[in-house]
Amino acid sequence: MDDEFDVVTKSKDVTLLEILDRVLDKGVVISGDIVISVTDVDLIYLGLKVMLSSVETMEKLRGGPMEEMGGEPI
Amino acid sequence: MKNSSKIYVFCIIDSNNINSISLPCGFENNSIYCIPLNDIGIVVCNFSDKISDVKRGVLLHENIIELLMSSFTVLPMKFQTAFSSHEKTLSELFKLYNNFKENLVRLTDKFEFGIKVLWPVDNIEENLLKNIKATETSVISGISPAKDYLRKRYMNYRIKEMLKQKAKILVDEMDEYFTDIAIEKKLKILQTDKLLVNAAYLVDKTQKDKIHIIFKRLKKDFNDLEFLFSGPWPPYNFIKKKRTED
Repeated sequence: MDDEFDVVTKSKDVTLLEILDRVLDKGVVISGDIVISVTDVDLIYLGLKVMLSSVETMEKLRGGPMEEMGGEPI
Repeated sequence: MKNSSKIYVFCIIDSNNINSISLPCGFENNSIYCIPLNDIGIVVCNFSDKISDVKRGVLLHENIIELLMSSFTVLPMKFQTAFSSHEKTLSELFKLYNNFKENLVRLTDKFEFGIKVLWPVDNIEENLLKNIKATETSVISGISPAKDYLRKRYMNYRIKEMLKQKAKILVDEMDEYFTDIAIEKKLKILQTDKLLVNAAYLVDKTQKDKIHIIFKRLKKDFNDLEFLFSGPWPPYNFIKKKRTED
């Protein structure tokens, strides 16, 4: 599992929130024939929380990492 | 590669092999490989049936798609898309082949970028309230509690409507900045009170430098707003969906 994570370079929380905003319900949305179990997390709930969190995070990051991003690819 | 029977699907690409690029391992350290679907490909890895760490899973999903994006046109799948077998994956996705092809052609050499804009809604609301009170001509002292209640409700309604109008005007003004480069756009206004707009734009890869210039102009011209720019992303918001294609 660590090997998987080592390749991931996006660690900023705000980036994760942006990713979640996309991968949870966008892209090619089709139903597979199996449901993947996710340990102890309800993804629907997570999706709602992300929206609220991202707003709060953005406020906290005023002049911080957002400023650094400044339109650069993340 | 472990010979697990279940298949996790990362994305669809405009090639039926991924030999030209090097990818890290997928879930449970299984290799990522491509299942050819005529001239396009389904990028997958085998896995058992659960994702034990959602954060890592999401990051891995996005990371693989982003690596593929540098060499191919990609149609990212929603996180957690999986099938019970290789055969089931092929048979189910083959039904969508034409739709995949249409999207791949339409989205070649394009990417999306995102903008979230926060506005100081509390201050704006306060100012609106002051303005309304200043222009109210009716005498409000001595009115009955019932009338006072209705008056407050109505004032609340007026403020909300004025905020919506103001938001629409601001978003239209900001949207103008992208007219020359946006091929398609998705604008969600006031998803929450503070989130003025959550926007995604589809642009051609050749326009990347222009986007940076526009971002800087926007930040300068609307300096009382907070911006979060992100991208380039695979075109998550611009895949035209068809539920079935039998």
